[in-house]
Amino acid sequence: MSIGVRGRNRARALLATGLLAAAFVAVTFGAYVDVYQVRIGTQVGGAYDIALMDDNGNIYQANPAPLGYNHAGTYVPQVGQWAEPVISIKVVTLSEVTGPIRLTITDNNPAPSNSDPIYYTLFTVSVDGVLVADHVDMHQVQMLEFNDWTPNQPKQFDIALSLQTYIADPQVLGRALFLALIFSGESQ
Amino acid sequence: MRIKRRIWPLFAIGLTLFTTAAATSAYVDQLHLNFSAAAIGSPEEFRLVVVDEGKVVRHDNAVLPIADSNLLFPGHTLSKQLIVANNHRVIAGDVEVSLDAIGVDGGFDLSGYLRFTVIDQDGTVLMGDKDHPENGESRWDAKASLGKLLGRAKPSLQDGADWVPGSASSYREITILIHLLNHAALQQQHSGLARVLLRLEATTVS
Repeated sequence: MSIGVRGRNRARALLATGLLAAAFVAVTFGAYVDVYQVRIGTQVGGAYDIALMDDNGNIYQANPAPLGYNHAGTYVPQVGQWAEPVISIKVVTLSEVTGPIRLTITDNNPAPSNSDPIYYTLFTVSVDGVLVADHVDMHQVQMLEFNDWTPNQPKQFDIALSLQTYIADPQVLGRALFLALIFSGESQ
Repeated sequence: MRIKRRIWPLFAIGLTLFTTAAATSAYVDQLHLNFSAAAIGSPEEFRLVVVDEGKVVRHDNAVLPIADSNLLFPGHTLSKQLIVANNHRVIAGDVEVSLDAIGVDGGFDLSGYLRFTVIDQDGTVLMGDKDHPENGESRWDAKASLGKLLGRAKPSLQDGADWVPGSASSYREITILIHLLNHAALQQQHSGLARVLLRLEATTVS
């Protein structure tokens, strides 16, 4: 019996020791903690924005709604027949970020047809008075890349229109020419 | 059995005395031994500071400028160098660095498309990939240990003070790379914004 009593006391003593040890461990691992947070820049990001500009400096985003022009009464001649009408338009990058811009010309006929004159139209493109494409079709125009943009400094695009001299499809002549000019850029 | 009877009453008395002493007002005698003329502890706060452009930064809502912050667009990387320093004279701390990003009202949210890299002053990459920052950590995983910063062995510095380096082991110059992924989702956007947050967490160590 006496052995059993001593055993319980030893157990209590061990338990007390354990509690003391736990308290000691808790103190040992206590530490100060500091947390500090700062912002890197007010915000980061950016914008890439190209737009059209008229002669008065007015800006037209033309996106998503396109800017419409109606040149009714303007006739597009076959090459060499008479002076070719010219579409003049200014393109500008408004953001600090710039990059190459491409020009895509597409058929804008609300009732498109294979006889639409656009497929027989030749385009002569000048940028700021410098000839960059001479009587090329719309697919070749799309191969062009316009570089060296400065923010808020527009470039003037002059696009002269003419029709091919030989057009096999008799339905082409006399049809209205519907054009969509799409300037698209990519930040770089 | 005799032993048992002797032990239990002693144990009970011990408890009673302890309780009484704690619960009653009585004569009190105290003896103080001061081991130090001053209070024990540290009068200086254990704090980290950031050093940017030669100045100590430690205030709420601090913003550290970063070059070309408005020119971050898909596929590009911004870089920011700064110093993380232990401002305590003696106490050392283990420091953890993490980066986070949140969207900004009025702009497409770029936060999920940012990737972070942190490079230590000796060129060690603490997180991310310095050669391919597009492989950096996203805001959800951008956390790394900067290791132990010793006490600066000089008086602590105030917010806005000129930076006076302490001991060489008390601070580290780190470079943070912030990369914007060239992600298809961003190619449909014309702009985007995010706020980038640097979080420093330190725990004292002996």
